[in-house]
Amino acid sequence: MNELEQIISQCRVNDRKGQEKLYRQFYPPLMALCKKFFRDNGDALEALNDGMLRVFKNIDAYQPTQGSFFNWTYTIVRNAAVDKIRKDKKSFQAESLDNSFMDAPDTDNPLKNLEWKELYRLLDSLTPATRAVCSLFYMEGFSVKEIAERLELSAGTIKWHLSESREKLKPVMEQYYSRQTPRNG
Amino acid sequence: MDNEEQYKIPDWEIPDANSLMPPADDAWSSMEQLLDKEMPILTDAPKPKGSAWGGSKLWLMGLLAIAVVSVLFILLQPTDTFTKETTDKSSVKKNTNENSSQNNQGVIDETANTTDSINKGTKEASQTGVDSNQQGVTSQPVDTDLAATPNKSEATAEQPGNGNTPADIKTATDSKKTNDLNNAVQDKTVKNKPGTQTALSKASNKNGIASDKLKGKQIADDTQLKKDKSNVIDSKLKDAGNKNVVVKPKGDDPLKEPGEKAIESDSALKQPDTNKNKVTDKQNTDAGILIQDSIQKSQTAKDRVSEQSNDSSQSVKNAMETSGNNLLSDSTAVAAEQKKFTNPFNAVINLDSNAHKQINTDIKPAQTKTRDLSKGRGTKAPPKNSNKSGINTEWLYGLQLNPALPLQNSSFYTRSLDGTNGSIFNHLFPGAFVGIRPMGQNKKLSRSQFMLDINPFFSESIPASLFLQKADSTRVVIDTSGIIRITRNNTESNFVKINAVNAGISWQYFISSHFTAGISLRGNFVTGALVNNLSNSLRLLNINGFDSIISRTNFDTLYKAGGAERNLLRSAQWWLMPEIVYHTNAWQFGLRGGLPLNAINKSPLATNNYPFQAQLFIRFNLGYKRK
Repeated sequence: MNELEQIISQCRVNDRKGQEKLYRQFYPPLMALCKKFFRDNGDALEALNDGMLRVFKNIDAYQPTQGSFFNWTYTIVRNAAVDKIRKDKKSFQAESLDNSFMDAPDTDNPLKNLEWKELYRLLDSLTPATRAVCSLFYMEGFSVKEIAERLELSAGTIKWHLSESREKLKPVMEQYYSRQTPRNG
Repeated sequence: MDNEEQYKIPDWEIPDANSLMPPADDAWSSMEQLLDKEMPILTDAPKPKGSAWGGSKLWLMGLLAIAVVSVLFILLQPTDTFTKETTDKSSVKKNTNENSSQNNQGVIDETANTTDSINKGTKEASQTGVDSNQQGVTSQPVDTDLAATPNKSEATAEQPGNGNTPADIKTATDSKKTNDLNNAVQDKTVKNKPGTQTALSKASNKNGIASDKLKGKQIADDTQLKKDKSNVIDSKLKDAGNKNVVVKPKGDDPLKEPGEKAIESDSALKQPDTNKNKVTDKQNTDAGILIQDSIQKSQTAKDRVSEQSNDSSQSVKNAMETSGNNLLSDSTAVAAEQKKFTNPFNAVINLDSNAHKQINTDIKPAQTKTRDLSKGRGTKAPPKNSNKSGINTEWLYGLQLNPALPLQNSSFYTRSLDGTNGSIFNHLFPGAFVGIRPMGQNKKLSRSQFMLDINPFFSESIPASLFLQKADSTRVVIDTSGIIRITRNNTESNFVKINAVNAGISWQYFISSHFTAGISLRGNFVTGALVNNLSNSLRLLNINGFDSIISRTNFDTLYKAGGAERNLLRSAQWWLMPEIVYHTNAWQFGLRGGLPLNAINKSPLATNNYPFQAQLFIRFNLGYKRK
């Protein structure tokens, strides 16, 4: 953690090496975060970089008393991702409406090879809007109301996306937890 | 939700980056392009805070410290000057005692008149013995030259075949002895108070404490008399008149003890020539009248012995008598000081009472003036002033370093308050000190001294002192299947380092020439603190009543204590520290350590509230003068 403090101090003075270290250190979890919302790696990376740019620009505003630096960064990147989702919500809605029929998963038998770490691959089966709402609700802990406010959508629309995601993910999750339970017991 | 964490993040494990994410290098390349566009690097980018010297604020504080020391130096200058003056006086006194060439020359020049007076006095002394013996006051033989004093007898004995006449003695004048006499007189003048020494010489001569030099002097004086009798007579008459002015009061009061007379005539004895010089013309005129009376009266006495005298001139005898009377009185005073002399000359001179009064009045300013001259010329330091209290008080002032020793939590020793790595140099900003070592009862420097010091840049790491502890847990139901996501967070915050203005007052006692032991009451007036925040987050999934740990994350952050946190830290912390110091020339090397008198942390959760602190301090005394 001492190293992180050094990196932060470097980032405060716009030091590229410090920024690179911070970016590489936080890249896996933050990219994973963005991947929850975007199927395309390019979109996820764009959201990540937008978020990290906000982090570097506002690093002096970080207040250690309000939380850890990672959590602060995570929140900023997530907000950046949500903002990106909101900007693209019309196309998402259009896609949602026009392409209500979802593409089949990549695997022929998704229940067979599904593992916890392949959740993101499962999310790829969802439409972008449904994926974002699902991620925000199940993975990020947002309420329907919060999601509706953030994405500037109605609560009914959010609920519809959640219902859609449960229809697709419930069998997979039940299968996963049925396998995990004996091990933990 | 009870979680106070404002930056909430989910509990999911991090997926396999390699399989799902683009390479980090590619991602950074795109990020770097974005940064170059949005946040280009400026060539004059500011340096990070907490660098080697702690930023510009610390530089300003350093300059402030130097200014404080300079002001102290200036404020202490008058004392220093005073000490210097005292030193000069002491050096004069010392040089006088050591008979250094420079001061010696000054004294010789200064006492030239005195030496002349000595010559005259010596002449007069030798001749006074003649006259006094002629007057039959003592039981000495009538023969003037031989009977004058044992001194004179010895002189005669050393010149066998010269006969008993003054002429023989005059013939026996030895220039070498004369030189010896002058040198001797000068030496004595230098080594002691000129006037006193001269008087003592005269007294010795008269009391028969003979020396070869004085004998030679007597002979030289006689030779001089022979060369120019008429001039001598005139001058002796004048001198006698003036000297009678001085002598008369003592001779006029035979009831007084010799010691009292000595006290009265002390000033005149010290500066006989000066007394003469200070007599005004009016006084001379008056004295001249008195002289005539004196001469007439003394003539009567001389007539009684004139038949027995072999001297050639009655006038010479008159002059010798009158002037000799003067020195007899002088010698009386000196003899009283020596408590050996019996005054045989009480009845020698009987001036009229009016003249006595008038002359007595005239003497006083001359005596006062004599003291002033003596003082102004610096031939001797006034003894009463040389050891006045305060003059020998020693002042100490200068710069000091007093870094705290990194005994606890040394990993934070070089940290800046913002948590960044600072430097060991942060502990090397100087402070200032001022001290006093008063003079003791025996007019020597006391073995105790008192010091006051301040260091506005003091910094010390302390053992973690807890002031905040927090534990919370959140439970989120994921769905109707009974899966619950649990997050447990534990957080605690500790003070680990403080910056303060460190000041203290110390008492030191010299247990040997180089070592002092003492005790110091010190205050830390806190200016800032470093907080170490430790938190861990445990993320669980509870599935059908069983917890499954997903991740455990520890966070360790450092930050500067904010306003609310600062309020938990006691702003004025007091310490009592024994100390031991090694003194060598202008340097002092010391070590002190102790426990605080009050709790440093006001939080009810506080731990390590009374941490041991030790300081190493080095002082350089700017006011030190090599002895």
